[in-house]
Amino acid sequence: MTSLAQAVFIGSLVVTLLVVVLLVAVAVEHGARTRRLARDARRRAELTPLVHALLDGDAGDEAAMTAAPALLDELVLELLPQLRGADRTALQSVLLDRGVVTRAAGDLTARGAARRGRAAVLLGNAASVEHTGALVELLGDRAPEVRNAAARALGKNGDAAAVGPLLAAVTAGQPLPPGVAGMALLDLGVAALPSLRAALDAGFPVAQTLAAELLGLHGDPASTTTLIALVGDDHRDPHARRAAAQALGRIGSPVATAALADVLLGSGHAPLQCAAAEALGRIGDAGGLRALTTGLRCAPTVDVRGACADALALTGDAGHRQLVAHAQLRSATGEAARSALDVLALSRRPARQAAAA
Amino acid sequence: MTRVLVVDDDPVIADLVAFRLTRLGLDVSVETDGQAGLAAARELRPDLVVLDWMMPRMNGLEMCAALRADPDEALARTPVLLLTAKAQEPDLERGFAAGATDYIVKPFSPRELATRVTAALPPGSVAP
Amino acid sequence: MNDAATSLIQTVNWTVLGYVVLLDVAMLVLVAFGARRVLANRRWAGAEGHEQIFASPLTPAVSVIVPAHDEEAGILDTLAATLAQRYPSLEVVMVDDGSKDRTFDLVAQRYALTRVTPRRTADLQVDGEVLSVHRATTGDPLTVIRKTSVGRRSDAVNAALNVARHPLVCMVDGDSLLEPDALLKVARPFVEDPVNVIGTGGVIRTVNGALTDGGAVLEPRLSRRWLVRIQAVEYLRSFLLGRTGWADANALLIISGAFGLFRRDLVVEIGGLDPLSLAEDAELVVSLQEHMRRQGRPHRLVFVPEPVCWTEVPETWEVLGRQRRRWSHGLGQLLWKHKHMIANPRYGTVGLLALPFFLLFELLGPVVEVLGLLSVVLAAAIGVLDPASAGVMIGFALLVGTLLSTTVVAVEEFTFHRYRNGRDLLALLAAGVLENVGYRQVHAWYRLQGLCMALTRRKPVWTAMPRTGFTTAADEAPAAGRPALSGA
Repeated sequence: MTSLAQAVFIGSLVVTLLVVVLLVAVAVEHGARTRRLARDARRRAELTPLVHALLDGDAGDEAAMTAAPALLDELVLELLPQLRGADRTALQSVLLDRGVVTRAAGDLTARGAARRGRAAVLLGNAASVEHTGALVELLGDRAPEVRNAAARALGKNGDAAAVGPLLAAVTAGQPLPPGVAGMALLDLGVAALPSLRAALDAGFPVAQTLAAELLGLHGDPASTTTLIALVGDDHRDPHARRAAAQALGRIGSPVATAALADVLLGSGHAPLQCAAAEALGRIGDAGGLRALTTGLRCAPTVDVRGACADALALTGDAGHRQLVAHAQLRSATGEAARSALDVLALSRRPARQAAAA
Repeated sequence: MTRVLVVDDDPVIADLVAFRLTRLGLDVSVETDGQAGLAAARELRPDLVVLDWMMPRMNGLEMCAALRADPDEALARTPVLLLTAKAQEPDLERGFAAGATDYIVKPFSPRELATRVTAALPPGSVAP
Repeated sequence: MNDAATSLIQTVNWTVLGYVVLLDVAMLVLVAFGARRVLANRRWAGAEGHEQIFASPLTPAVSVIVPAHDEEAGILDTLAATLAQRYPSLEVVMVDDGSKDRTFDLVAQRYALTRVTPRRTADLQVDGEVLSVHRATTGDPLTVIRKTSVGRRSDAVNAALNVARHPLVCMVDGDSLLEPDALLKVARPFVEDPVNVIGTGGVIRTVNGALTDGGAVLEPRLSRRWLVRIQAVEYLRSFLLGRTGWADANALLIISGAFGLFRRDLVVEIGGLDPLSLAEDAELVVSLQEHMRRQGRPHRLVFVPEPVCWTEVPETWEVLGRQRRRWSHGLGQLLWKHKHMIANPRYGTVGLLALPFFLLFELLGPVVEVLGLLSVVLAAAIGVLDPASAGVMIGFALLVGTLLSTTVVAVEEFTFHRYRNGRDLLALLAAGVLENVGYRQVHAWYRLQGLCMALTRRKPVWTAMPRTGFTTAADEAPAAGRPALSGA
């Protein structure tokens, strides 16, 4: 055997050893895990009556509750996001009484990102308003997951003081993803409205887009004027304008009809045109009929024509008549009109239940 | 005794609902999928069913529709309360179209659920 | 026999050994990185916001595209599982791509289809003829397109893209089953980072042998066939290495055909799926990245290290050969089409890392391996093979391969722990060893054939895989008495 072969032989021995170590590890882990899972399931079943008793505030003596294992906190934390009302509040106070909240607050400055993040999640579930400041601080954390967790926790806490920082974090140096901020701001409800209205005009397009989207979901009539100005301004970001169009559709005020009609016919940006057409359909004002009919006939892309047809279907009898008139055409216009009529007919038919498979 | 069947694939939720309803003095049974739920409904003939939507084997809507289509008229009229995380408008429409009596969206308040169950049952079923 | 030839053969042998060991070690390193990420993810996967995403009106709606060609065995299960997805807003667009069996009839009956005028949202080129478009009247958000087949899945997908309405699209194969919250898991990055994320993908597992019901996987079990078991290990490994490792570097190359989620507007922008490609999903991912890079637009591809999709894999060598030849052929096409990106710093980590890796190891790997085998056989035939050295060499290569497979199975056990049955776990470990003897060599041969097809620019053929349908709980009834947990 050459020396190379000898070296390879020694290498083989090392690799074999590694394989054996791995095999043993797998075997040990498999056994331990299977036992652990069974034990956890048993303990959970044992603890469930205690959780239920806690809901009614009659867990018996305090000592039993404080002595219960950490698994109880896990059970409570699993249950919390699914609950509302008095039972939720009862479970939150259990976490407080057991010192879980205090421990989590301490963990907000821990070294490990996972610990900071988990602590934030817990504080959110416990709806602990005292820690808003610390959570706001975490919005600038170096780990993206922790920033997200902090934002969600702030949303669940329901402290309106978090609105400003959440909006600002979207465009910070280490930004918070707009979707996460959005969910949190929605959780905070109407308290966020004034800041959102202000954000439509100030700051970066990302924040404007988000603000428009959320105001639309709230159906906030007070922001109509600002949204109309945004949607009609050719110099603004197309994403923000599109979000504004969608929001105006959700708010449903006919005041926006003229502006949306202008955008539908005047903009060359197909996604924006689609959004404008959809919004006109949602508003359903007869003032949008002419623009929608023109769009159905002349828009350069099939999706805009389709959106116009769908919108006409929502614009009362006059819109329906336009669709019927165009349905005879053999062009893309005719196809879009027929398709919208088909959908209308389908939606008026009561749903048949699925035949048993 | 008034009998209620709870069908939910999440045992934690099912147990919690069962607990709240037992507190009302109701006789509660629990199943964790639609197929077993339907079989239990036919056997136990409950006075009301609390039903999750998204479940394995047979989903809540299918089970609800099957219940409504049952040849046994009394069983077909059983009040069904859908308890689901599906919260959008079209979902509600589909739920009621499938024959649901009431619709509760998760996250939910168990106390509210108990109140709605009481309202859906004939008067006097629940001890005050 | 002269000395020159002898030493040439010996050199080839050593080179091939070196290559194989290098390849395995490279994979081992990638697996280790992947494993680290998966373990970290298991410890804390971020704010577990699936419930919130489900309830949030900000979650974008998804169009799920299901192309089907002669899928009567499983289409109802696939549709049921897709429509039952835990997702706030979705539609399913199924394409009956020239099926000659009862695929369409089954669907038409189950969902009480009615014919409608298509509502087109895009104008992608479709080569087959669209015969009719139907909608379900059962209240399910299902659209069905019937078209004539041109023998390409991409054509069916493009036809569906023309009527898909939602901002995100997901392509699911007829032979795949989704986990109930699959869409929720892979949609999460879009919700959290709507500005940058353009595509996401999840982990794919083999479904053969698993216990399913109505399109839901009730219990993952391992098939009794060794060929399938080996592929199970292969899927576990490819997820740990090809995908997870790259994702960190934003070089995510392949969002597998079985499960990926993309922004519809961008897919339409680049003209839909490439009609000529055999690896159309990998092609799509590379094309998207190229498109976005060229235009200087922000883009992020995210890999979600969670099992989301179960796919049926070939049960016979013949079918496996067809599949692997096609993959290799497709990879060849892809690298040729995007050759300007290879080692091009303009394309970042994709150009500098991912594509060269695929070229060196995935595409050329079989050439080296087959060559090596031939040279060993040749050396033995002319009697210049030193049995001791050869034994040590081959043994070492096998051992490194075994270490790789064992690591992969170990990671699976330490993280997801999906195979509860101890016997399944043992079988997986054994399959990992077996993979290196026989399977690997035949696989290399298939891939070499595919590469040759790509080189000769053979016209691509898309042959469907024969389907067996999924094992249902009812079929399994006699075995129900078997304990699910051994050693519990």
